[in-house]
Amino acid sequence: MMPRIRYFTYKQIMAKTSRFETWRWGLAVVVCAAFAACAPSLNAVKSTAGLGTQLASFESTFDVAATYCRFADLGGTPDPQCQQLQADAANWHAVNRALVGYAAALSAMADDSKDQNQQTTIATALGASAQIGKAWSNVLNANVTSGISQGVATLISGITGVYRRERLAVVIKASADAVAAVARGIDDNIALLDRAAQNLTATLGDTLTSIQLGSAPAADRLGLAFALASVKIELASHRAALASYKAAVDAFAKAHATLRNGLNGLGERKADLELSQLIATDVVQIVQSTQTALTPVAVPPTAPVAPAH
Amino acid sequence: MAIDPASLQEVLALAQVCEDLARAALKVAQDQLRAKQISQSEFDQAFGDYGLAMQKARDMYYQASHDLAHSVAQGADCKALAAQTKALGESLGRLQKVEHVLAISFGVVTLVASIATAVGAPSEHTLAGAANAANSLKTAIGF
Repeated sequence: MMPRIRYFTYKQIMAKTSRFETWRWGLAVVVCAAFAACAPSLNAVKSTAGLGTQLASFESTFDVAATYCRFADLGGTPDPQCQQLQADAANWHAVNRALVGYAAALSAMADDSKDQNQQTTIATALGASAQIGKAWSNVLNANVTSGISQGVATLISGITGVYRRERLAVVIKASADAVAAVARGIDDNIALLDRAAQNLTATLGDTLTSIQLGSAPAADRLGLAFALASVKIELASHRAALASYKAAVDAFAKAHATLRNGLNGLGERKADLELSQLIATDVVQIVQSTQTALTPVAVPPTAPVAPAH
Repeated sequence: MAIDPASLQEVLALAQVCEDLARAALKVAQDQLRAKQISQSEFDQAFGDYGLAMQKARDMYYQASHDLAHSVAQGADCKALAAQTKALGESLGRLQKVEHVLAISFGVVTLVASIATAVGAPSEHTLAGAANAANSLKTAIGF
C-alpha cells in the first residue's frame, strides 16, 4: 500500500513560501519592535556613556591633595598622612578608570554605525545559488531574490540590534548599584578633600594676619603675603576642579540610573530567555510548518470488495 | 563602597569643631599680642599650637580619604564594574566578528533556500536539509 503524496502546483508552492516568509519577517519585526519598546535607546546609552568617558580628564584631580598636605612640613611638623595620600592616588586613578572603561564599553556597544548591511551579499549568494539547478531557478526569480535578501538583511539588522540592546540592558542593570556606589565614593572623597583644602585656605589666611602682627621686616612680610596669596589661588583652583569632578560624576551616575530605571523587565534571566526563545521559535516553526505541509498523507485502506454473485 | 553617610557627617563635624577651636584660640592670642599682653615668643607658641591643631583636623579628612580609597578601589563595586566592562567587551567582540554575522546571514539564506527546495522537491532528503539548516542557524546565532 503506497502512501499518497501531496503535490503542489508552482502557484501553491510560491503562495506557501511567500506566506512563510511574510510570517517570518513579520515575527522578526514584531520581536524587534517589542524589544525596542522597552530596551535602552542606543542614543540614550551613547549620551550617558559620553558623560562617563568625560571623567577621563579628572583622573589626576586627587593627586595634588598630597602636595597640599606637605605644606604642613614647611612649618617643621611633617604630616604622616601625606605619604598615604600619595599612595592613594593610584587607587583613585584605578577607580576613575573603572568608570571611564565601563562608559567606553557602553559607548562601543551602543554604536551601531559600522554594522554591515548584508543585503547585497545575500542577494549575490542567492543569485549564485539560482544557477545550481532547475528547482532553484524556478523558485528564485528576481523578485523573490530581492524580497528574500531584503528580508534577511532586515532580520540580521534586527538580530544585531536586539543583541546590542539586550546585552546593554543586562549590563546596565547589573552595573547600576556599582556605578551608584563608586560615584558616591568619589563624591565622599571630594567632600573630604574639599574640606581639607578649606582648612588650608583658612590656615593661610590666619597665617597672613599673624605675620602682619609680628615684628618681621616689611620685605619678609610682603614676600610671605605674596607667597601665601599665590597658594590660596592654587587652592581655589583645586576646589573648583573638585567641584567640576563632582558635577561630572553625578551627571554620569544620574544618567545611568535613568537608563536603568527605563529597563522594564529586560536584563532579567527570564526575559532574556523569552527573547531567545522567540527568535529560536521563529526559525524552528518555519521548518515544522514546512514539514507538516509536506508530510505524506496516508491513504486509508480500502475494504475488500465482495465478489458479485 | 562609599562611607556611611552618618560617619562622613561625623568626621566632617568633628574636624570642624577642632578647626573652630584652634582658630578661636589663635584669635585670642592675636588680640593679646596686639594689646601687648603676651610676648612674640608666647604668640609663636600659640601659633605653633594652632598650626598643629589645624593639621590634626586635616588629618581627620585625610585619614577618612585614605580609608575610602582602599574600600572603593578594593571593594566589590569596582570589581563588579570591571567584570561588567569585560563582559560587554567580549559581547562586542563576538558581535563584531564578521564571520559571526555572515554565519547568521548565510544560515538564514541556507534555511530559506532549503525550505524552498523542500517545497519544490519534497523528499526525506530535502526536509532533513531544511531541518539541518535551521539547526545551523540556531547555532550561529548562539542559542
